Amino acid sequence: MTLDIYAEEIIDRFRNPHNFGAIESADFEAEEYNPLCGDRIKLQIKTHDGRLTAKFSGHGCAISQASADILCGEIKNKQISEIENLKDDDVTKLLNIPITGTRLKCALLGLWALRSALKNGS
Amino acid sequence: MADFSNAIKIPQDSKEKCRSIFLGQENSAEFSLVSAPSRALFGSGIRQDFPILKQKINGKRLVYLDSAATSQKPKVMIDALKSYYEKYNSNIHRAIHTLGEQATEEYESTRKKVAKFINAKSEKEIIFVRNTTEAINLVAYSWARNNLKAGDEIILTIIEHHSNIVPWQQLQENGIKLKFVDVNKNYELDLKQLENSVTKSTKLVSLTHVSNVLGTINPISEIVKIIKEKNPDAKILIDGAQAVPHLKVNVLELDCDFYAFSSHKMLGPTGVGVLYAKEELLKEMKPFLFGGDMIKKVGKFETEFNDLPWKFEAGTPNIADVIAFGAAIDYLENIGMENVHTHEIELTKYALEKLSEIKDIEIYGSKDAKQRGGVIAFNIKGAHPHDVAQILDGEGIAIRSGHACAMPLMKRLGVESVCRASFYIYNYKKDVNAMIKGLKKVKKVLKL
Repeated sequence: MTLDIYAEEIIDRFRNPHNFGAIESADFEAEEYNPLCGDRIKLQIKTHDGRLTAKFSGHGCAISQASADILCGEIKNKQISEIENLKDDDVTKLLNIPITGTRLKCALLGLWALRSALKNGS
Repeated sequence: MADFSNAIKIPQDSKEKCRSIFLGQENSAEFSLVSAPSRALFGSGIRQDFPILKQKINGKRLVYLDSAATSQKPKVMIDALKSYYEKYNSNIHRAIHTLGEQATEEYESTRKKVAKFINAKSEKEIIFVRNTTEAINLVAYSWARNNLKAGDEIILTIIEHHSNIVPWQQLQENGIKLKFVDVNKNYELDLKQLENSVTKSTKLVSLTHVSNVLGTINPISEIVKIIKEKNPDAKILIDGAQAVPHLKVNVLELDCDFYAFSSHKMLGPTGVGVLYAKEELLKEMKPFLFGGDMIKKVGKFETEFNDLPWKFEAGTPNIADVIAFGAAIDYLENIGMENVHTHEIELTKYALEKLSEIKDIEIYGSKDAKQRGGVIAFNIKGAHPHDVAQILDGEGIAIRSGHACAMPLMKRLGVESVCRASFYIYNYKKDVNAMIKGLKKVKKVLKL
């Protein structure tokens, strides 16, 4: 039961994230930090002809890192209007693993960074 | 009277036997020799007294390794709580009826037990509060705010729990300075630095007896001497939350001015803490909270406060939990605190050995089990403590993960968070073995 949270996809994304790194002269960026566990995620977004690319950096647990990676994948090739209203539920659905209350913050850290980034602008 | 019929009663001779039987040796010859008091044996025997340990977590035997956060509770304590509510629930101190008198007697009898347990001179020196944090706040509000002025210094250490840092930080707005004593490479307090930190302006040194992360047992008697020699007027507060449950604490011998600890970490209920303070200090101190039980006589514009210790216990206190705390102390007294400590040293030694065999593990704190309490903080390279704790939970194993309410220490160790396993009387080698097996699973799941 509990181990479902560490599904193959999550562990693979944690060990070998597809979207880890930095974007030079990003159009949007923000960093979010969870002082409870020390997890940190910086999310950067760049627009090309209205289409987005996103990368993240930072450190943390498997859930926060995999979630940020999956989120960056989700943002890719979308337009801002398509991602600016992403809900908590949208992200937990993308993860497709059972998230308990105590781990929700881990799962949503990337989303918080996305929201801050869009609010901040570049 | 509280019903203590289930309380373990250990004859003196078997107490001796307890000393030599540790760590779940169910099949040892000695175990079978001790029949009735065998429930008092550490680990396997004692576990029967703790109803919660009988349940399964995620289909697995519960392996509870988070006693530094809160201990589990023996049935005798739970029964005492139930007995109060079912048989003599009533308010205390002013009731002229049978129930009220009984409740008052039981409540005050816990105070006497606490005084004896930590060897206070008098039960007047025992103040019931909600927890260790409130005890420290009581000293910060009633003593420090009224006695310290701008330029005075408070010395803390880098290994303190947030509860022994944050109340003192608030005094900085009055110009009071904070200093921090560091640890050496063996994670022991730097006593030389401590000595050098104490000046004429030092009004208080507030430090922990046992670190809730490193497990380090601080040599309090020695520390008190060092401080008093340099400044006899400096007061000393000891945060004993991680010490009183595990060691024989003798406040008279330690000669500290204040000592704070919590019931819930020593088999008692939540919601009860203790502040011990020397009587002459308590006499001078102003009350912390006002109203109810702390009052002797009230006029329209003035109040005469109650005598010690009630001067510091405003409102209806936590009667039920204080009474049940008494049952927890009886239980520990029956086992003997020396035995508790010896058991934990044995278990910690075993756990340190087994953990050290794991590749890419970093263990924080002294490697000498005798120098530390039954608390082991560690990290496995590449594994976030939250992931470790979650995977272990899947195996029925409860450990703590995170900053352990000691963020300045985390920064000092250069980590964001740690895994922490902590032991108590109901743990045995089997629990350590389960954790080691669980940690192997962690590595497998995380592909480390």
